[in-house]
Formats: sequence, C-alpha cells, structure tokens
Amino acid sequence: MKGFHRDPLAHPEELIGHVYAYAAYRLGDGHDAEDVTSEVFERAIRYRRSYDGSKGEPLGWLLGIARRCADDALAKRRGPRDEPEPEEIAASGSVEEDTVRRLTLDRALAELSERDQELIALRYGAELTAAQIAEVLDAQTNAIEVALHRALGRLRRILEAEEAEAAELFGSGRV
Amino acid sequence: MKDERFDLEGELNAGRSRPRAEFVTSLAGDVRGRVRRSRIGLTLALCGLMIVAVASFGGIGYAAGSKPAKSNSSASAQYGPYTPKQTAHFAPKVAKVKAKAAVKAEATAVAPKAAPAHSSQLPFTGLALWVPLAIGLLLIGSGVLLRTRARRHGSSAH
Repeated sequence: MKGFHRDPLAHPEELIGHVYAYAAYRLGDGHDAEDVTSEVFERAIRYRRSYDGSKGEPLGWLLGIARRCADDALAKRRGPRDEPEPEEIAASGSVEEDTVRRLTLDRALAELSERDQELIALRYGAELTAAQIAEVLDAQTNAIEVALHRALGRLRRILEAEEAEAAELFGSGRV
Repeated sequence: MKDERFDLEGELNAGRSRPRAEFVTSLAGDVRGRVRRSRIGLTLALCGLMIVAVASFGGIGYAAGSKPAKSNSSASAQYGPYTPKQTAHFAPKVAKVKAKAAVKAEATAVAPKAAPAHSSQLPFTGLALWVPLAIGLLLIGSGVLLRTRARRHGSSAH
C-alpha cells in the first residue's frame, strides 16, 4: 500500500477489494457486502478531509468506517427479520466438496463471538497484518496476535465438533 | 477437522471473497468522479473568494486606472532618467506623437475629476465600508462553522 500520501482515495480499486472482502467475511458474499462497501466509500468521500496520513494508511482508516457500517448492517439484519435457518448441508459427492467446505466454514464462523469474527475478517478478509489490525482496533500488536490465535483455536474446535457430529450422523445412517 | 487434514488458515485465505469486476469498475469510477468534482468546486470557490476580496477593496479599479510608476530604482538614482537621443530621421514622427499627447493631456485636464471618497467609503469604488466588513465577517463565520461541522462528522466517521 505505497503511494498514498495526500488523497486516501487516489487508488480506489485495490481498496475496494480489501473492504469488500472484509464486509463479505462479516456479512456474507453478495449484495449486503456490496452495499456496505458502497456505504464505506460514500462516507469516505464525505469525510476524507478528516483522514490523517500520519495516523496510518488509508486502508486502516477505511476499515474503521467499514466496521461501523458492518455493525449497522448486522444490527438491521437482526432487527425485524428472523435469523435465517442454517442451510442443510448434503455431503453428496466430490463435485460439491468445495461448496460444502465453504458452508461448513461459514456456519462455524457464525458461531464465533463478534470480536473473533471481526478479527478473522480483518486478518483473512482484508488481509491485514496483526500490527495493522492493532492500529485499526487501537490495541497492542501482541494482544491481537494472541486474540487471533485463540479465535482460530475456537474455530478449529467448532469445526472438529461439527465433523464429529456429521460422522455420527453418517455412522447411524440418518442423513 | 484435524490440522493434518484441514489447513484452517489456508481455507480461510482461500475463502476470501472477491468483488464483481463491474462493481469495482462502477464504484471506482464514481469515487474518482466525485473526488474530481469536489476539487473543482473548491478551486472555483477559492478563486471567487479572491476576486471578491480584491474587487471589494477596489483592486480592479486601481489596477485598471493606475499609471506606470516612476522608477525609483538605485540605477535611476545613480544615472538619472534615461532619454533616448532623437535622430533626424525620427524627428517628424516624434513631433506628431508629442502633438497627440498634448491634445490628450488637454482633454484630461478639462474632464471633471472623480469626487473624492468619504471616510466611510472605499477609494476608487465608492463602496460603503461596512459591505466588505460584513462579507469578511460572514466568510469567517461560515469558515468556523464548516470547520466545526467537519470536525464533528470526522470524529464520528473515525
């Protein structure tokens, strides 16, 4: 992310990719993530004079806005609408293996706390380093590294539990 | 999901979503266009502000009506004013130009002079003093208001 000195929105394409990937991790791939990405850039244009290059890179600033937009979108989603039922996963053949794995991962991610989800979205969605995440969340880098490690541990345990459950179901022939 | 069977970090990296190309193109175009428009607007506003400031203090009238100033340079102090020598070849032309200048000077002397400005009026324009003062105060007030609003919105955006 070099070359951003004065205008934080001088190279929007790359930034859009990162913001979208973060939003997609928090809200799921599709229209919601696109809406949040558009909202982030709308606010960024409006308030871009408040961007201070000495405080960090434009991506960190944009992700700070994106966090708020994603929280708002999640709050709206939880409001009048009922929580959507988790999709049934049918492990039928190798062609659908990738989709099934992705859905399993999404379901496991949804079971994590909001803080863990955010950390994973920033690390694996927006591709930030622990130091950059610490900048966005205003925390110590070490604390972020430990929190990320723990979040991954929790995610792994959820996936293990789901696999054990699936194995039990297959074993008993209930699928 | 054991480590050896399921590379969790690899899976999370692979699961990263990419935005649609049309979405990226459309949004990037929109961002660039709006940033450009706001820059042009700011430039025009600053130019307008400068023109208003210059015009309200009679700068335009002063610039239009001013005569070339006499040279007060160190060179003229040392050597005196320079007058080119007239050759015989140019003498009739010079006489003609001098005659024209004399007629012009006569006409200027006959023309009524502009009324002197009162103490509450600006020179050259005759504009009342309170007008630029009010404009100045208005500009300062709106500037402070805009800064305050921008800071408030900026802190909520961060």
